[in-house]
Amino acid sequence: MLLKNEIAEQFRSRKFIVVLVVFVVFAIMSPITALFMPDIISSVSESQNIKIEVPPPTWIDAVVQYVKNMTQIISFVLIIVYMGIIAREKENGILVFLLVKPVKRTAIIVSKYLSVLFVAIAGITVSFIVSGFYTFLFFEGFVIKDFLLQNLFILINIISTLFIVVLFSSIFKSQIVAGILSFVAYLLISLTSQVEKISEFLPSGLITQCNNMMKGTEISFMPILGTLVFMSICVVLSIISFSKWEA
Amino acid sequence: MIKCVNLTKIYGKSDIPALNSLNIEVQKNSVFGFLGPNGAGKTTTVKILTGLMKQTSGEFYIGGVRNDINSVGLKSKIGYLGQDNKMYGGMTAQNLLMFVGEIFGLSKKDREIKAGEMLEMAGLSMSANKKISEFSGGMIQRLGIAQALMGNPEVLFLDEPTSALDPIGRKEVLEFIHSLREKCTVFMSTHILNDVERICDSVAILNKGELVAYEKTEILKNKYSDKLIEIVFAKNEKDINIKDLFEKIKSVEILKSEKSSVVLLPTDMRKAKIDLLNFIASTGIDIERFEVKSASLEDVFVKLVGGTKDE
Repeated sequence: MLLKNEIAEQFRSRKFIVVLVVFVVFAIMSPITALFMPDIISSVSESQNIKIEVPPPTWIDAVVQYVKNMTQIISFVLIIVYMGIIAREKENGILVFLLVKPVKRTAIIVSKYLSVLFVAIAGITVSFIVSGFYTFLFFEGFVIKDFLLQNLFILINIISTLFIVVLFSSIFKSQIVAGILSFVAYLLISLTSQVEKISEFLPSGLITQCNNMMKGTEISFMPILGTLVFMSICVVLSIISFSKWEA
Repeated sequence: MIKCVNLTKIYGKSDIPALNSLNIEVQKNSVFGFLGPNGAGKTTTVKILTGLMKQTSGEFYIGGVRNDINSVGLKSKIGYLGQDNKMYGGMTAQNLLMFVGEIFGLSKKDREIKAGEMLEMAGLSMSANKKISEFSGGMIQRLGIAQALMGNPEVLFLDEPTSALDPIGRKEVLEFIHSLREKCTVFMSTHILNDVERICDSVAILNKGELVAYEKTEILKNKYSDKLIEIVFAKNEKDINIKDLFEKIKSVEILKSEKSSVVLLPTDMRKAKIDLLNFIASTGIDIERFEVKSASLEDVFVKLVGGTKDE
């Protein structure tokens, strides 16, 4: 019931539609950018009287672009859109409306997490279909099966970013503070990708696995396990923090 | 119905309690007025009693059951309308009430019936399918009370329910609250004395976190019902300094002074009347009215909370 309301609220506030549009735009842009990149580079280089040889684009270029867009730009957009998911409701007093009703505080927090989970799954599903379709259309040799697995890694990565946002939003009353800290945490986790031993257990390792798939090297499922533990910690910390929050 | 035992709240590392050892009992099916100036600790008390805030020490009971901040049992017994009444603006009134009914575990059919009743009672039937964001202040307040009543609460907590309303909206909401007495116990915090005087059966006055009075409204008025003298000055007496003038008269104490009137508490009524009339005659101050009157709740409040108001 709370989850139904949360999802309905995402539609009423048009957040869901906005986020879905952003997902679709970047999903389409990835293969198109890859397709036209050689033309763009050559037209720029010609205007500068420099000759740059660019090999013809492949589906790998499209997927690399897709992974970057999904895990960087989309993550940034999601932080901005959802930094107030709890903090804003604390600020404007709407949480009080729920807190005086016979619902457990844990249920409120869990409904928030599930609602962002829904957003991430919907976003990645649509992106997978749209981007997969255009990549298949424009490039030869595209392996849908690998792309599906890559999307699973990306999905878990995006969910982890959203869980960080919900965590900070549940701890702090200001959505700006929640947003800034979420972004800092996101950057710090992204930086760990440089250290394989650490990133293997963190969301950043999921991106490494996506890249490994394209290189044809062996992939590890450890980052999935590590990220699930990381996300569970986020949920538990949120519940603990929110159970002590005084309106 | 509501019992507070040594309820205390201290914020952070402050030395001064926002609420200090509050002990009150509210009878079932009564309208209880919780009075106090801004910052007295009214909202803190209401937030503790509704489980929105944790008390530093003390206990409280609703319907004989001890409760605390995360008690779901407490929430099923209460309805609450906050000072800053926020609801989902994108929802319609009907949808909001249906949602609240669902939270309280009502079946779909019961929800529809109850929502219809509540909308009717709040005078919002015609606006049932209108978005809440399009409602006026009075409509939002009435819808706030309606949603608070959806779960058939034993106790309805109202925090400053009329403070943001115009006189017509205020009258409507007060009549509505007054009519609830048969259905539940109403705990209403306010700083508007007229509201309490009009609808409350008993009243507690809080000042700086301390309970300064707690009685049935009529008993409280009678208890402090020293006769008062009110003097209303003529319109041409704009520049007089009431405080300076009347401080000189030893047989009275200034209870409340405003621009064109003063309420005085006599220590000896007979002597005070003679002193005041002689003083007015000798100074030639033009007055419109000189009245010996019974104390209103406002006078009791001013006397207990202290301080005169110079405007």
